[in-house]
Amino acid sequence: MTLKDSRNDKVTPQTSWDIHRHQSKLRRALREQIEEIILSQPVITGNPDKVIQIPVRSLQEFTFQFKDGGGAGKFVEGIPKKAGTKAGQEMIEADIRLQLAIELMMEDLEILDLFRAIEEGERVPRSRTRPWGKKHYGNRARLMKRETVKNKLARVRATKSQSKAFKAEDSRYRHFKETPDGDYRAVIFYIMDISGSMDGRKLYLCRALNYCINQYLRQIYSEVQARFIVHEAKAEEKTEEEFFRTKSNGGTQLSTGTEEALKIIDRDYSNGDWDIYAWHATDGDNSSQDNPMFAKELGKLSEKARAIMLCETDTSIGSASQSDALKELREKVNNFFVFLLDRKEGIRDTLKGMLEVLKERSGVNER
Amino acid sequence: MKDNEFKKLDKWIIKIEDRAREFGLKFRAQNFTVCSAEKMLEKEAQLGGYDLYSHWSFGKRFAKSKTLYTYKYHFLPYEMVINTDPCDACLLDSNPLTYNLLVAAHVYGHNDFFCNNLMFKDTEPKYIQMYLREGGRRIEEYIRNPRIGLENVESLLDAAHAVWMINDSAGRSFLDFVLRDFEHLSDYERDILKTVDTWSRHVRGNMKTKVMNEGWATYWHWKIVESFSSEIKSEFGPSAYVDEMLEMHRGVVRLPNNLKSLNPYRVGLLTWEKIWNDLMWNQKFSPVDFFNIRAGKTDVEFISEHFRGEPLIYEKFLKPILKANGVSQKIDVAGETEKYRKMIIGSCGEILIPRFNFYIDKTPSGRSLMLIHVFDGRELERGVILHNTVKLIHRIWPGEIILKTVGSEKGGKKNIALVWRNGEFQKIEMPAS
Repeated sequence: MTLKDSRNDKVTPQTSWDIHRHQSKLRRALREQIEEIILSQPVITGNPDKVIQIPVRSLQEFTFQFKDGGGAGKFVEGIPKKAGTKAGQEMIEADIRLQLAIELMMEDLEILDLFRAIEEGERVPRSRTRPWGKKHYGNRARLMKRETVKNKLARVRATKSQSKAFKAEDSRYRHFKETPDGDYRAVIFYIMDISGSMDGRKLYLCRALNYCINQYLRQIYSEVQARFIVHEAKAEEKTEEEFFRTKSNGGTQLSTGTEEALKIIDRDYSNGDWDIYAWHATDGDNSSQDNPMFAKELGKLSEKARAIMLCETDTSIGSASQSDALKELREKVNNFFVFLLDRKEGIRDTLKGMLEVLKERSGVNER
Repeated sequence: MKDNEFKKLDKWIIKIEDRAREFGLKFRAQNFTVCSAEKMLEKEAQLGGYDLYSHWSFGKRFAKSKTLYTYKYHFLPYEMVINTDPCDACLLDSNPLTYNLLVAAHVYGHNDFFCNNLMFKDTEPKYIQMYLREGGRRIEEYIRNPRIGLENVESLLDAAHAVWMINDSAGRSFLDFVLRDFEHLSDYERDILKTVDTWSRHVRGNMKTKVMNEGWATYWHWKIVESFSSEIKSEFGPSAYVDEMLEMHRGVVRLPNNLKSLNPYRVGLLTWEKIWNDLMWNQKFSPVDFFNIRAGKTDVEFISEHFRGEPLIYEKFLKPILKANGVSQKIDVAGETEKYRKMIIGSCGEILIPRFNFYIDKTPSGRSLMLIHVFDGRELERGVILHNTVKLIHRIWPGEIILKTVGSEKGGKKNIALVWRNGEFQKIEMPAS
C-alpha cells in the first residue's frame, strides 16, 4: 500500500485544453443561433451583465437511446435529482452574459471594430463647471479679497472693536459646481413597421443598428431614454421585449408611427429639456395615399427633433422614400435622412452614415 | 487535512488492509492518492481517472460540474477507484479523517471485486494505463499533423463516443466490427478507434456490475469499520464513530424519495446481506459460497436471482417510499413488489443500451451499412437524437446507412426503416409482421 500526497495538485494542462476546446465550440454554436438569441433578449434596456440561458443542441453527445429511458428507473449517487427528468430531453444550457451575445452579433455582422470604437470612444461632456455662489470657507486661491475686506470693515464698525485684524468669519470664497448643460438628456424613438415582409433577418439587422445608435447616444448624452413604437395601419407603444416580437399582416401607413411619436412628445417631452431623435425602420411599402400625409407628419416632427432617420430595408422602385412628397421634404428640411439597408454587407456603410448624422446633429463638433 | 492527520491515515490504512485480508478478501496492491476537490471533479469528468486522450466532452463535463459544485448543486464523490494494477484510488482532502478511513475500506472492497469478478477476467489492468497514455500521445500527434488536423480527429472521436457501448445480440461490440470489416478506414482512423475500443472494453465490466460492485464494497466497508469500532472510539472519540462514520454509511445507503430513482449502494448492500443471512441457515455453510457469488455473476443475474422476497423489497424499499410520499391506501403488495423488482432489473446499465445487429449488405446503390435494432418491446428515441447519431456514424461509414426498428406510428406499431443517403433521411414504413 502506498499513500501519495497530491493535495495541492492543479488540473492538468490536458483538462485546461479540453475546457478551452469546449468553450470555442460553444462560441461557434452560439454564433450559429445568434439571430434567435438577439431577437429574444432586451439588449437596449437590459443589463449587459445579466446571465441568460441558451439551449445548445450541437454540444449534446448523441447516442442511441430508448424512448422515455425505456421505462426504467435511474441509478443516482449522492443527492437525488429531480424525479421524472426524461433521458432523451437533455439539452445543454449555456449560461452567457448578455454582453457576450451582443459582441457575437457584432462579430457576425462584421462591425465589431465599429462597435468597439463606439464603446471606447471619448465621452462628450454634457456639463460644465459653473460659479455656484460664495461661502465663508474654501480654497485659499478662490478668496474674494474685496468682499472679505468689506465684511471686515462692516464688522469692525458694527461691533466697535479695537482690533483691526481679520477674522475667519470675514472671509468669502468663490464656489463652483459641475452643472449639466441644458441639453444633457436625449430621447430616441424607435419606430418599426411590422407589416408582413419584415422578417427575422431584417429585424436582426435593425436590432444591431438600434443597439449601436443607442450606445453612441449614451456616449454623448448623460441620460438617454428609448421609446419603442410599432405600427402597421395603427400605431402602438411597446416595451422592448414586445418590440421585436409583435407581428401583423395589416396594411401599412407610415404616418401613424410618426403621429404616435408626436403624441408622446407632446405628452412627456414638451418642456424643451430633451434632445429628440427618431429612427424609423420600414420596408418602404407604404400605401400611396399615405405618402403626402407621412411627409406632413415628418415635417411637424422635424421642427421638434434633432434628427430623423428613415431606414428602408427594401429598395424597390415604389418605395416611400422615392415618392415626390418625401423628396420635397428632404429638400426643405435639413434634419431628415434616408438610409437604405437591403443586405447584410451594407450594414457597415449604413451604420457609419447614421453615426455621422448623429455626430453632426447632436452638436458634438461645437464642443 | 493536516500533516499529522495524513500520517494517521497512513497508519490506519495499513490496519484496514490487514483486516480486509483476514476477512478473506483477495486484492491487488493498492495505491491511494489524497487530492483536492478540483482534482476529484477532473477525474470524474474524465470518466474515472484513466489516462485518457483529450476530448472536448471531458471539458464540458468538468466545466459544468465545477459550476454546479461552486453553487453546491453537485455532489462530490467520496472516492474514485479504477481497475488497474496496482489499483489506483483517490481520497478527498477536504473530507474528515474518519470519512477517509471508511472510504479506504470501501476501496478494498472494489479492489477485491475487480480482481475476482468474471466480467474483469479479460481486462489487462497492468497495461491499460500505459496503453491509453500511448494512445493519447498518438492522437495528439495526429492533431498536430497538418494532413489530419484537429477537426478530423475530433469528428472521429465524436463518432466513436456515439457507438462505443453498442453491442449486437451475441455480445460483439460495434467498434470491433468496424475495425474488422470497414476496409476503407485509413491507418490513423483505425488507430484512434482501436484506442477507444480498448478503453470501452476495459470499462464495460464496470457498467455490467455496478450494483453488485457497490453493494459488495459497502458490505465490506461497514464490516471492517465495525470490527474496529472500539479502537476508533478510543482514538477519535465515540461521537466520531456514531456521528461521522455511521452517519456517512447511512447516507450512502439512503433510500431515495421516489420510486424512479434508485440507489445502487442500497440495492446492492441489502441483497448481499440477504444472501449472507440465507447462507447462514444452510447446514453446510461455508463463506466460500458467499465469495463464489461475487465471482461469477453480472448485475442482471445477481438481481434476478437474489433480489426477491417481500421482506426485502416491500419492507426495505416500497413501504418507506410510499409512506414518505403520503400514499396511505392499501396496495397490492405482491403485485407492486414484482413490478418494482422488474423495474430495477430493467434499470441495470447494460439493459439501458439498445442492441443492434449490424452487417454490410449489397444494395442497388452499392454497399450499405445495416443496423437492425433488436426489438424487445422498448422503442428507440427517434427524431433529433437518432438522426444526429446516424450522422455521427456517417463519419466512419461514408456510404448508405439503413437502420431498421419498430416504432408506433399512426395506425399502431410498424416496422420502420430509416435510410440515410447523400445527406438526407428517408423513412420507409412497413406493417409489423
